[in-house]
Amino acid sequence: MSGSGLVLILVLLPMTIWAQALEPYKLGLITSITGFMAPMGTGVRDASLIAVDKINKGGGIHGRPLKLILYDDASDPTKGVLAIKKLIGEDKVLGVTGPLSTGIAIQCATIAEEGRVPMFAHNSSSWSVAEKPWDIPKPPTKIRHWVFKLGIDPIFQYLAIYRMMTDIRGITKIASINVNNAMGKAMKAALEATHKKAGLEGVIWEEFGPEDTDMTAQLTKIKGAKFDALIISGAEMASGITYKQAREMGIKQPILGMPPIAMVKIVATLGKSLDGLRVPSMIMDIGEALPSDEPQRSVAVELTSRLKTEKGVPRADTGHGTGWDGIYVFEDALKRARPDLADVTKARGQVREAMATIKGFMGAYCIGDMTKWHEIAAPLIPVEMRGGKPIVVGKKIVSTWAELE
Amino acid sequence: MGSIYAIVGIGFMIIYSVTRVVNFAQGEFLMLGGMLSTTFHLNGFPLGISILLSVVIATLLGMFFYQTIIYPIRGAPAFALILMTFGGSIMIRGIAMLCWGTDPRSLPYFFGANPIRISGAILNPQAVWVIVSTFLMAVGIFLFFRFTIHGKAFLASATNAFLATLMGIKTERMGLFSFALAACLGALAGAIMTPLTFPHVGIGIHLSVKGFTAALIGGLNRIEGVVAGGLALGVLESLGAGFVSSGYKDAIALVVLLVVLTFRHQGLLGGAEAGRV
Repeated sequence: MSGSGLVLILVLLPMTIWAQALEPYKLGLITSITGFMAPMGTGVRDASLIAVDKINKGGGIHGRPLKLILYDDASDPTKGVLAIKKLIGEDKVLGVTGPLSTGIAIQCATIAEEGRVPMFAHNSSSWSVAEKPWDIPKPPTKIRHWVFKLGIDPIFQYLAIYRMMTDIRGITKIASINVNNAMGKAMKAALEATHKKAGLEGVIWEEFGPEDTDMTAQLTKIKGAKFDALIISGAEMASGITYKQAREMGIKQPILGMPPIAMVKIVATLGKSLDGLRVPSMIMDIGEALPSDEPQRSVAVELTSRLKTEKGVPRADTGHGTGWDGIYVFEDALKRARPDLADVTKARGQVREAMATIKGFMGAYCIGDMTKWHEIAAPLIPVEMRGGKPIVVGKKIVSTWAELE
Repeated sequence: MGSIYAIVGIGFMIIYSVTRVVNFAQGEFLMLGGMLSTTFHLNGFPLGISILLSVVIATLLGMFFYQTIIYPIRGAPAFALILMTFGGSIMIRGIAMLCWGTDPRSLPYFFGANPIRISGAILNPQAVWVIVSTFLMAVGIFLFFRFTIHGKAFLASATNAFLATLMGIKTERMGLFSFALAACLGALAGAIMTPLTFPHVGIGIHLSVKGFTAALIGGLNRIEGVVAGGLALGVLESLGAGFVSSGYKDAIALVVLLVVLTFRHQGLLGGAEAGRV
């Protein structure tokens, strides 16, 4: 949908005079500045730039500044692949952070693996770190050597949803509607593989397109089925519209959404139309409303205020958390790796080793150690939308593949 | 959605019937209508005034678009003009993205949010608005072409530009007027559909393609054909999403278009004579 080609925005960030003398550590960022993932992708960009700026103003890493080279994938896998090839071959980066969409991340992961460059994917599904399809819901078996990511696989999100359902009580039959792109299909596969074990029966499965604005045909079919709760799975505006139309059509059962439906931007646009929706929400989408004893609260608050003052962003969200963490995992890895810049291939290997051994990471999105599945867990917090705002209704849920081993 | 496709289709028809240009920037005027009206509304203007302002601005932009992009190369082959409209649409989208970013926007429902229930079927009140206004626009345009001197001048320029000039009709002014009218209708439709579809700057091209399909299915030179084409396309998409798969929605539209063009290249209701409106 975006006609724009591969937009190259070379960002030379302010460096301290001292740091200027040394060659910078180069990182690549691939995200969606245009196309349907853009509402989140622009957030990733802004927060990444702020994180790089903060690191450079603080003297860089080992006195070297970070240099971020940013490419727009236009929410299109082909452009994502071109971007990562360029980053590896021409820009000679030490690592790549992004991309956001599962479809693009899977393609880029193959290139990163071939090109032997560490990559920290921003997408949800573990399909990007796994070399081939595995026996869902068991943990992925063959993990790509060079690819890492946020631990927010749809299976973890559904585990959180099942836990919220037990709190509601009396739910045995579920209806499901999901977006029909790569992410939505990964979500549906995860739901299909896990719901029986949670004692649920799926009675109707429907889909909608990421750009759709009218889901009444599918919802009419759902309304005719006998079910206790509806699960909406998708990231885009479309999933928010699905909820709104479901309520307008008089669907009275509890409706639970996958975390992306409660993204700040969607909530801001749809406002009170989302009231009554229950979501296991991500840290940055709750932000300052987080309980004060929540360790990630301070990072979330810092990022929120920096975005407000430096970029004029009124509300921070998960996209921002993603961008911030994508830079800070590399900061953590670079600090310990002390890569030898004379030999790019060797340096990339050193960064990869350090990334695989990250311990006690404290981000705006994920928290803890890098697991053997190459993921850092992202906590989910049960919320219910009331008066156009998320209200925390349960305890934090942190899941990793270890739970399903 | 069918009504929205119909309005975009009417825009295509108005411009095509006068200038023989297929204006692929038509969808962008809907986007502008939606984005401008939400911007005014967010800045404290009442809903009605916001929509009025957005329609006025979009109309002026439509005229500006004609004057700067189409007029200077008038007489060039049709494909060159069509390419220019494509380029223009990308330009409008680019500028809009700089102004508004990529987030979707919203307006409140115009008159209440309580769904209307008719014997089991549930209708969204805003959807009723969209349908009623499509109907009004279509009837308005129909009457305009049939019964006003300007409308007849329009038709004359469409049928034979040279003879129309001999009769004292300024065909170029008619071109300008057709762009203004199409932009005005587009922006109005864009504002009305905003509470339902939450527009963002990227929706224009999608609407253009669907509206063009609607216009071709119905016949590019008859308003009742375009409206029927738009509604048919909307119903088909909805049925397709409900009974086949939402993934095939766009494919269904294109298959229908191919079938129609293969067997009836002038569209389902299109007359054989050129330029009939």
